[in-house]
Amino acid sequence: MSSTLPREQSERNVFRGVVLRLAALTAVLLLLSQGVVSFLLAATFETSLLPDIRRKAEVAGDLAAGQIGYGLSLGIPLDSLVDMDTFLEGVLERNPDFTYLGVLRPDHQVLYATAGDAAPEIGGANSLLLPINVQEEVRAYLHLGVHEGALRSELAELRLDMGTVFLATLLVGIELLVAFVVVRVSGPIQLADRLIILSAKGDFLRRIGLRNKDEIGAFAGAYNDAVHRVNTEFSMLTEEAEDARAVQLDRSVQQRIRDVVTTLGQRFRFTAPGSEETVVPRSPMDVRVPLFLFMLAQELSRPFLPLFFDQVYTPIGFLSKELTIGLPITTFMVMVLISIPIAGALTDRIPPRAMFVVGILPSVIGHVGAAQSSGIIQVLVWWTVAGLGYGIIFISAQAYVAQHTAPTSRAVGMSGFLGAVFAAFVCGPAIGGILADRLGYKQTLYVAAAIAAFAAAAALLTVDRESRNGRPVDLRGTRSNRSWRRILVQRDFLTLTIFSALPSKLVLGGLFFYLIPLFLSDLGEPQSNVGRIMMVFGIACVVITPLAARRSDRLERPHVFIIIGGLIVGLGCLLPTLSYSTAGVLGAVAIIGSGYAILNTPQLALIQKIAERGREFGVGPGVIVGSFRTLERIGTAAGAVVVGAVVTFVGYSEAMLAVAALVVVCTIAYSLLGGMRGSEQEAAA
Amino acid sequence: MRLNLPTRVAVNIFLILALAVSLTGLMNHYKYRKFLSDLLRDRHALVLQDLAHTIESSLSLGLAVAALPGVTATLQNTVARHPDILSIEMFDEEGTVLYSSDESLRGDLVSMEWAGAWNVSDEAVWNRVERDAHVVGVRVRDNNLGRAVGSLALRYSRAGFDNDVRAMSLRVAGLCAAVLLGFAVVGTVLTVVFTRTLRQRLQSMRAAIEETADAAGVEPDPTSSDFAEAAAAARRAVAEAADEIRRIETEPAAQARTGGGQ
Repeated sequence: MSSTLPREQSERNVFRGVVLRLAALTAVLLLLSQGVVSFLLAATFETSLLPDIRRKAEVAGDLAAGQIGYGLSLGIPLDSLVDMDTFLEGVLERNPDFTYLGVLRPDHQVLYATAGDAAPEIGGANSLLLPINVQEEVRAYLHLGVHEGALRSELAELRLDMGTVFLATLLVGIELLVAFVVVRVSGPIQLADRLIILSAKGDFLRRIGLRNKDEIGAFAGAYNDAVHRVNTEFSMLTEEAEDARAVQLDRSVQQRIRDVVTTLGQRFRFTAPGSEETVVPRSPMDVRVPLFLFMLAQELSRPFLPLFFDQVYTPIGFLSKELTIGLPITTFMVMVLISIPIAGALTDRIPPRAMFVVGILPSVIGHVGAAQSSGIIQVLVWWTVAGLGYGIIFISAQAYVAQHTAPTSRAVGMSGFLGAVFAAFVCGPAIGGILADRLGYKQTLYVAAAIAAFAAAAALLTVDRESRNGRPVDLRGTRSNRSWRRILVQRDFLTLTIFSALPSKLVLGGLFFYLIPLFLSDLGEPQSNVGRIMMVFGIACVVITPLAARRSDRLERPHVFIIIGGLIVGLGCLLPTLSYSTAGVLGAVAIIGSGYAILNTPQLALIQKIAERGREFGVGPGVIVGSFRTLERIGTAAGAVVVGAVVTFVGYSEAMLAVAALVVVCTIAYSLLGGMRGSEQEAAA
Repeated sequence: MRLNLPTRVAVNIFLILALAVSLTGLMNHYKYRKFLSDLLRDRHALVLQDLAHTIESSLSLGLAVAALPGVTATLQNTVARHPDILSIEMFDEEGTVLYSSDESLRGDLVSMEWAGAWNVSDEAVWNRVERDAHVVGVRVRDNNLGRAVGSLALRYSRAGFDNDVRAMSLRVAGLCAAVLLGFAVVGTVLTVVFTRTLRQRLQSMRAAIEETADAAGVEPDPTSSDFAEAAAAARRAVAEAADEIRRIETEPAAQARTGGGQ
C-alpha cells in the first residue's frame, strides 16, 4: 500500500505535467496562429482595397476640384479665390479619409492648404494630385493626403473579437484536451495499473477492454495476451489432468492428479481463456465533452434571445410586449423543471448513451423550430421543446457522473460536470454574440442546433452504451405532499429558500437571461459586445466560486457569505441607475456575477447541513436538496416574466433598481431571520 | 485507423486551431466585405451628394422640383463618366420618377422598397441591396420649403463587388489553410516532444510485460515487471504441475494398475 501511494502520486504528476504542457502549447499555438492570420490578412486586404480607397479619394477630390474649376471658369484668378481655407477645411471634414488638401499652381507651388497635417510628398503612396481644368487646360492642381491606415484602424476593431475568440477557443481546447487525456490516456493507464497489481498477486481473471489503436491499446493488447497465455496454459493443463484422471482406475492417483490442479488453483486465480472479465475504463469525464458541446449550443443564444423574441413579437391577448418576450424564457425553465423528475426516473431504465442522444433531439428540434418561427407563439412552443431537451441532458449527465463515481468521490465527479457547464457559460455567449453579429439570430440558432447534434455524435463516441455500475442513484428526490409539508415548516429551510435562493435565481433568470441583453442593445451595443459583457458573468463565477467555497468551508460561516453575496448582488443591480451606460451595465454584470459566485456555494453547503438533519423531521436528505433545487428553478423560471412585468411600467435601469431593492430587502430579512441566528451558532461552534 | 498517441493529441490540437483560425478568417473576411461595401457606397454617395447639391441650388432659386432644367443631361453625363453606375433616378415624395439617366423611366413609380427606405432612414443617405445591384440614395431638400421633396437614387453594379468578395474568400481560405497547416506541423512536433514521458512510460510497461526490455533498451516498469514475473511464475507453475501429472501417470504402480485394468 505504501509503495502504491507514491507511485500514484508520481503518476498523477506525469499526467498533470502532460496536460499542463499540452494546454500551454495549445494556448501559444492559438495566440500565434490568430496573430499570424490577422497580420497576413490585414496586408492582403490592404493591397486589395488600396485601389478602391484611392478611387474614392479621387472621386471626392474630383468633386472639390470641379468646384474650384467652376470658380476659375467664371474668370476669378487662382490667387484671388475667397474663403479657400474654409472651403478646403470643409472638404477635409466631410472626408475622414483625407489628411491634407492643398491647391497648387501648375508649377506645384502651394497656394492654399489645410492646417494640421503636413503635405505628403507628391507622388507618394498616400498622396493624390488631381488637375483642376478649365476648358481642357490645367490651371492648378488639387493635392490630397490620403489616410494611410484607414483599413488598418478598421481591422484593429477586430482585436476585441479576436481576443474573445482566443479565450473561447482556448477554453474549448482545454476542455477537449483534458477530456481526451483523462478518457483516452490516464483513465486506461490507471485501470491497467490496477489490473496489473491484481495480476501480480496471481489474479488472471480480467482483461482490459480497450480498442485504442495506439500505444495504450498496444500495451493493453500485450497485457491481455499475457493473461490469455497463462489461462490457455492452465486450461491445457486441466484438460491434460482430466484425460489423465479419466484413464486412472486408482482413486488415490485420480485424487493426486486433482490435488495438483487444485493446489495450483489455490495459488493463482485462473479462468477459461476467452472468458476473462472485460474491464472497460469508464469515468465521469466520458460525458464531459458531449455535455460541454450541448451546453455551448444552449449558451450561444444567450446574448440575443430576448432580442430575437422581440424581433418575432406578435401581441398575445392583454399581455404587454415586455412580458410576452420574457415568456419563452420562462416556459423553457418550466419545461426543464417538469422534465427533470421524469427523465430522472428514466435514467435507471434507459442506458445513459441512449438518454443523452434522445435528449438532444428536442433541443435540436427546438432550436431549428425557433429559427424558422415567424411569431411569438411558435417561438414559445419550440423554445419549450428545447427546454425538454435541456432537462433530459442535464439529468442524464448528472446521473452518468453519479453512476460512475464512488459516493466518496462524487463531489469531485460533480465538479467535472460543473466545469463543463461553466466553461460553456463563459465562452457560449461570447461566441454566440460574434456569430449573431455576423450571421444573424436565425443562423446562429441553426449553428447552435448543429453543435447540439454534434454533441449527440460525441456522446455516441464517448459515452458507454450500456454502462451502469449497479449503483442506481435517485436524482429525483421523490417528494410526497407530506414531505413537502414537513420541509416547508422548517424555518431555516424556508428562510434560506425565500430570502436568498429565490431572489438570487430571480436575478439570474430575470436580469441575466432577459434584461441585460435588452438593456445593452438599447444602449446601442452590437451583439458581439453583448456576448462579451455577458461572458464577464461567467468569468466572475468561474474565478470567484472556488475561492468563496474554500473560504466559506474554512471559516465554516456560510451565512456570512450568503449575506455578503446578497448585498453585493443588490449593489451590482444599483449600478446602471447611477450610471446609465455600457460601463455601468458591464460593472453591474461583473459585480452581480461576483456576488452570485460568493453566495452560491455557501447556499449549497447550508442546504446540505439542513439535509443532514432531515431525518429528525422525517425527510431524507435527497428529498430536501431536491426540494431546494425545485424551488430555485421556480425562481429562475419566474425571473423573466417578473422582470418583464416590471419593465412594462418602468425603464430598464429602474427595473434593475427594483430588483436591487428586492435583493437587499430579502438579504436583510435573511440576516435578521436566519443569518444572525446561524452566525451565532456558527460562531459558537 | 491506427493512430499513435501524439497523433491523436495533435488531431485534437489541430481541430481547436482550425476552429480558432476559421473564426478569425471569417471575422476578417466579414470586415473586408463590410469595408469594401461601405467604400463603394460612400464613393457613390459622394457623386450623388454633388448632384443633390446642384439640384438643391436650383430649388433655392425658386424653381419647381418637377421643372428643373438640365437635370436629365447631368444624370446622363454622370452615368457616362462612371462605368459601374447603372442608372440614376430622382423621384418625388409619391415615388414618381421625375428625372432619370434612362429617359424612358420618367413618370414611372419606383419600387415600394426604395420609397420605404427613403422614408424610414434617419440618415440623409440610404441604401438597399438588390439582386443585381446596390442602390444608394440621398434626400433632396428644398430649403425654401424646409423639407425633403424627393430623393436621388443611384444603382451601381454589384458584379465587381461580388467578384472581389468571392476572390477574397478563396484567398482568405487559402491563407488560413496555410497558416493552419504550418502551426499544425509545429504543434505535432511539439506534441511528440511533450508526450515523450508518457510514451516512455507505456513503452517500459509494454516491454516489461512482453519481457523485451533488454532488446528495446528501456528500463522496465517495476509494476509491470511484477506482473510479468507473476505471469511467468504462473506459467512455470502450470508447467511444473503438468510435469507432476505426467510423473504421477508414469509411476510404476499406477502403470501396473492401469495395465491390470486393461
